[in-house]
Amino acid sequence: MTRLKPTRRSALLAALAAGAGASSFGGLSPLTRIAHAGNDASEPRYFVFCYFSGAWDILLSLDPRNPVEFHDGNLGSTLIQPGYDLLDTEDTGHITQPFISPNSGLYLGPYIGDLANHDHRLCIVRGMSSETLTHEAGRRRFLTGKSPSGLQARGSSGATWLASLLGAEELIPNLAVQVETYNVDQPTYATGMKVNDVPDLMQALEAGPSTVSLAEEQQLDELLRRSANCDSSERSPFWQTAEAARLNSVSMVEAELHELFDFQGSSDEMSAIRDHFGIAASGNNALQTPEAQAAAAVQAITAGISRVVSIRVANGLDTHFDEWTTDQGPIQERGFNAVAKMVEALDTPYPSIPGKTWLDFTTIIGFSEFCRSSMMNVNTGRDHSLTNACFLLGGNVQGGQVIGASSDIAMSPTKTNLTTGQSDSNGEIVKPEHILQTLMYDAGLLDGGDIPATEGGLDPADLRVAPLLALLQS
Amino acid sequence: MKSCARLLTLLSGILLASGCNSIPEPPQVQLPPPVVDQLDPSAESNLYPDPPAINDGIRNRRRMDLDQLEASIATATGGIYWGMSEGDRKFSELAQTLGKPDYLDVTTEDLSPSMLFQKFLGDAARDICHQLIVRELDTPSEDRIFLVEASESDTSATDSQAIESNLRYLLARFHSQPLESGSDLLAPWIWLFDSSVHVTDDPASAWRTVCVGLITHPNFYSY
Repeated sequence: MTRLKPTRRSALLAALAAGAGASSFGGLSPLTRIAHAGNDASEPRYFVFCYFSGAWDILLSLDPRNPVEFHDGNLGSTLIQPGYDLLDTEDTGHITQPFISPNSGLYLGPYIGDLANHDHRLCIVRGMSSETLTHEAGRRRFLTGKSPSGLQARGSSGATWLASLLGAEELIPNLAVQVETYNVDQPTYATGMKVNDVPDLMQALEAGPSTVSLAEEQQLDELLRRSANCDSSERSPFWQTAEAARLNSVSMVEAELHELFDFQGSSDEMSAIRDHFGIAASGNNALQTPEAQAAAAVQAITAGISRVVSIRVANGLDTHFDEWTTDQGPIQERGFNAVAKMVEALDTPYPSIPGKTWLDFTTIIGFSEFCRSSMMNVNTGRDHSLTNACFLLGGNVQGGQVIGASSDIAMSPTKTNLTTGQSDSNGEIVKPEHILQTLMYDAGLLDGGDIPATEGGLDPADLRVAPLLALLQS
Repeated sequence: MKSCARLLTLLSGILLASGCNSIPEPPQVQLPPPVVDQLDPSAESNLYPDPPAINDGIRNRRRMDLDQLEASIATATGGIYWGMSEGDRKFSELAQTLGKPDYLDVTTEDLSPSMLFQKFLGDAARDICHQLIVRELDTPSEDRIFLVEASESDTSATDSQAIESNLRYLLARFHSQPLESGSDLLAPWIWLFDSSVHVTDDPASAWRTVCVGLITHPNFYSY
């Protein structure tokens, strides 16, 4: 879906569409309800990490510049080249200028997509630093909140920490679709189950063809269980991990959860999901799209299978050449649209807490490894920049706001007051670890302590920063 | 000029030698040993790292990577691979999900015995062992690689020696675990075979179950 110039009518239509989408998910199927049983905490927390792969151009979306103020005439002094006039939109008629969002007045880039319709819940963090120009290092920095050793990730993923805290009861506490996941110091159950796409997820959840009878399966299980209980095996951490994983895989298959992700199935529920997310009814490629991953995330969360889901909603953003003019915007926008669909699907009643929706308890985090340079290169593309931005919405996130700012010269990271969210020369440059620390703080992993980690407060993941409290409602 | 240079070299050598000899010995300062009780008690320092996980006498095991696993299965089964009957190489299809590096995004292989690995290993074992037993039954006994010491009709009731011999052969073939006759380590495998015969009344089916057990056992996929 391309973003056309927003009007009151289109906003109304979008709201209606959102309502229709929501109603499709409002009536949970019996399968969904069964899977969700037991999830009865008064303030549950769920997380969806959305990765935009390849380094995004935030001038087109999260951190635009007014082309009247930043133009070729003052390029030498601003070192910022929005390049909106270079975008190839001849065939699509897409807008090429930033605009003010309809509800909260956020200044957004032309390819923010349908996420603009949820601006009242959207919080953008600008002026961040990734402290690297290497894709792997930036990605792993955001996933773990720690600077990698070379390219080697250090520490467990933020998703793993959150799953460790929240997900002991869930069948797959930490699901990762096309996103790396790390666990070096958390319990085995929190290890991310990483699949490459939705068909692989279905295959993982479905019992494979077998000619072994049920009784023989039980005998096999007994043999392997006893082997794991031998003295020598009990002293082997590897063996115990392997046995725990085997038992989990058996439980996972027995739950027959694959039906929840059979998006090309013939049931009414699957048909509604297809319509809402825009997934084709046939063809394997349709299940490898950002839309299918977004639908999988919603299913995993609302069915009570997972507490934390990581998905990749955009690929191919590494536009160093003139594909920037044609690809960068649309790829980003497709990702933002998938996130918007997810928001709408989660904005449905939460079963056990009246007046609340799934979105009230689900925090969505959108990130990329870093952003693209503020100046075009000689190939009409953009190279890598240390600067970054990210967005969050849902859960306890204070929506309708922008935190921090990139500088008006070369879009460099700038310091932000972590409490007010305003630019502040006495503040800190926000980095990925601030975001993860905030999520951990909100999830109660810091035990409610509001003493900054830098001043001796709790810091279980050793992130060494204070939470960005301006992100949160309370 | 030449003699001047030689003289300079000689003088600098003498100076160096005499300088080395004339440096006084540094005073010997007795430092306290670096132990915890001599540090500031409020600092809660710990100079001793946590001991490694208890693994007495057990070498830390390591999981085979995907290529090693596929090669091992093919070697042990005489060339059978997962998905062979449908013409697919399933391990290749699932390579990224199973953590094999693509050297674009991922450059190191995930070798954890994860839930996904266990699930797909189980699927692979069931498919491969079905193919293996079907092939064995169609193969003359002298050319077999699985039912070598026992026939498809032998049971512990009819020829316990043949069953034990075949299990010893299989444990050596699949787990590199040569066992003496009567070893205690054979007991679980004899139990599995006998139990399976008991519920299926089909020794060939029981050997298939044993095959699945051999492949899904950590002694096969880790080293």
